[in-house]
Amino acid sequence: MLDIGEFQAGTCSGLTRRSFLRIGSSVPMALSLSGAAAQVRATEAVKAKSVIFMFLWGAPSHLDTFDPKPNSPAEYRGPFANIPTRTPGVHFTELLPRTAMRSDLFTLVRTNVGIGTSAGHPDGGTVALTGFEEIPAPVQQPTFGSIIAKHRGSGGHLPGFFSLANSKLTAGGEFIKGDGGGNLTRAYDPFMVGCSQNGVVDIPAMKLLKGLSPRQITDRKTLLAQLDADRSLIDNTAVGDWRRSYGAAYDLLMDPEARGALDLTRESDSTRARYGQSEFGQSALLARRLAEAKVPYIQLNYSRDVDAFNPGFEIGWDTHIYNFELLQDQLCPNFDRAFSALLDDLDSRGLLEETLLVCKGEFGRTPKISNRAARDHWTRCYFSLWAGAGIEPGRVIGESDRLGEEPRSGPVVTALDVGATIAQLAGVDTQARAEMNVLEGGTVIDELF
Amino acid sequence: MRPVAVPVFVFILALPAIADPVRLTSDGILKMSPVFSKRGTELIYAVLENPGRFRLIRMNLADRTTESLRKDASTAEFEPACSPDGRYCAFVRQRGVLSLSVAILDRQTNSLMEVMPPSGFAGMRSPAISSDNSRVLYSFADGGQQNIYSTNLQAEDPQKLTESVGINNWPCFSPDGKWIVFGSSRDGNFEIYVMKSDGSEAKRMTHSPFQDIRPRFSPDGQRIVFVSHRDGNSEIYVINVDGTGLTRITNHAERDDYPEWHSDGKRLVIVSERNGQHDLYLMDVP
Repeated sequence: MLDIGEFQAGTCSGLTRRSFLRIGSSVPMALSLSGAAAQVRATEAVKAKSVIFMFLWGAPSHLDTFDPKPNSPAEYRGPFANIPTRTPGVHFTELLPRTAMRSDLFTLVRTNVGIGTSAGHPDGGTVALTGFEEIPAPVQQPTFGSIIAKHRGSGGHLPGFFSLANSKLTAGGEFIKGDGGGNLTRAYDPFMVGCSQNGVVDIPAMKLLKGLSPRQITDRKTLLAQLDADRSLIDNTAVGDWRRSYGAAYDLLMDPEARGALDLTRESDSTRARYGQSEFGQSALLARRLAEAKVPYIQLNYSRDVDAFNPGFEIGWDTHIYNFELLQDQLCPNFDRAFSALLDDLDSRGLLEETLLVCKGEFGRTPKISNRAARDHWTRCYFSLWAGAGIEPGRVIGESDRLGEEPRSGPVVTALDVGATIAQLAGVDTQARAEMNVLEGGTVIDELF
Repeated sequence: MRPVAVPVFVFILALPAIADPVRLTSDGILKMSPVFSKRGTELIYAVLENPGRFRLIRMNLADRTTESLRKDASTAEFEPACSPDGRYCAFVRQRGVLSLSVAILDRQTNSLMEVMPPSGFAGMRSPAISSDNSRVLYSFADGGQQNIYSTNLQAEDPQKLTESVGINNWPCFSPDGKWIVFGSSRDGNFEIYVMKSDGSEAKRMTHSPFQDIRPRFSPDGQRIVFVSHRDGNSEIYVINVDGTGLTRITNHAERDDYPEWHSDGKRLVIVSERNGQHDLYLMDVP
């Protein structure tokens, strides 16, 4: 059994044995900090020095949040009132009062659509994160973060691609197959970091081999020697990736600057309070710190909460039952607080100019209320939010039809288009995408600019 | 924080002078649905122990010590309801994937009865026990509607009490057992309604374009406390059962929610979010 790496970063000026806890058997890969694999391009074309991809896994209802349909029949409408926003003529539901008051900082796209037959969470997740369906297996397409991490390299002292969640996103034992480096290799899988509602950071890749204490890993050579001695614990096909992962974790541990980026206790109490004492809220604050540290890509997952109803299914917005109660009691209050705090923080610190914030799920939910008086999966029309990095804010792009079932006007935006737009802003231009053989067919969403 | 213009949906109500609420917990963890039990000497409430697990907690109000209500619970348990004497406690219990039952615990015998959900994604919410320990109310969704049902404490004899479009939820018996107050979206958005305990003669109590939810009868049966978003965020209000005397009793930029009367009828326990933390507060009612 391997040990996990978790630490209350702010309380340790040095490292203590207590800093290292346990990790599951699935250890995410990290990117080399050496920079050897980095292909850092000219920065002048990089509008988004950092990307925060806020992934609302489980799929939030678009009608009950950002695309209300107050004049639709009762079997569609839902019980929530609409409130005005800072964008003239645009309304959200009453569940998002803080976000509504910041609509001038972001642009809402109401015409996202799914592709193919990927209407389940793992396969829909693959589409959302790669732009492509899972077929044919195994998934070859890298996730957006992997593409950007490969192109841009590491974020200084930090890995180039973080995914903020306490474990790989799971739906009853099924994982998103397209959540990693794909044909770019596992070296570009995300470096996973979890964060509790109290801001305790959990770094799975810091798992150390049994008997190896922080005091013993005074140098990298010792660490790698120990790793080599215990290869039996490691999938031989991935030894190189494991070494990279441990190397990244080691460097992160040993570098005060890198470690500090993960230390939420360096934030004031008032800042931490603005994000809310929730796992998602504190993770959003962590995302801001990583963006501040110039990490190229941060995937901020809201993948919890509904799992109190749904053991083993960390698909936070999957509201097949009690959609309306879950949205008003937990999901939207947490989201509204954390999202608005993140927007404010990025804006007030001048980070929004060079940070791209994208927020979306893998799809939407049925406009027609289900037999269980809730909402099921709906891939044919849903929303995304875009802020920073040159996006012209304060607008709504695309219009859904009167029931919210299909796009009616404006661009029809696929996940592949989302990926191409993110990549373009992050400096992976058309030529670079072609050279990497990624995101083929994706179109930059020109209407955002 | 950026200066923002608050949208105008303000209803002018007099805010009476009230003593500062007493904070009962301080860990900030998300809490839901506190209820008094044993004539107001203990509190039962749900905490989000981790994002995947609600647990029921019992607090002795005299010294504020806490413990798990059910130490051997292996799944999420939340939304407790207690009989006034504290013998019975009903709550929502996770049975499986998106499957929720209403469990009825006899705390004297430790026996547990359950109103089981049908197969598939389904479940019950918001149980409430009558003061004579004869019936348990709950909400259940089927056929595109969510209606209110009742059962006896052996989880038998289910009866459907409402038959309306929309969501009907948060039922609560009056102290004499003759009336039920509940929230419903039957007229478009969530409002407060009262009906006889057999489900007849439903009467609408509130009229607000924003949600009015989680109503609770006072111990003397003369007033109803509920949560409303009518002033821009979640606040606590009290109204007389005849529809007069609407009074707002909390006023804060953060959330105030889940009100429940103390048996003395003079105090409420609520969950307030302050500085992003969710804790229990005991407050006077004017």
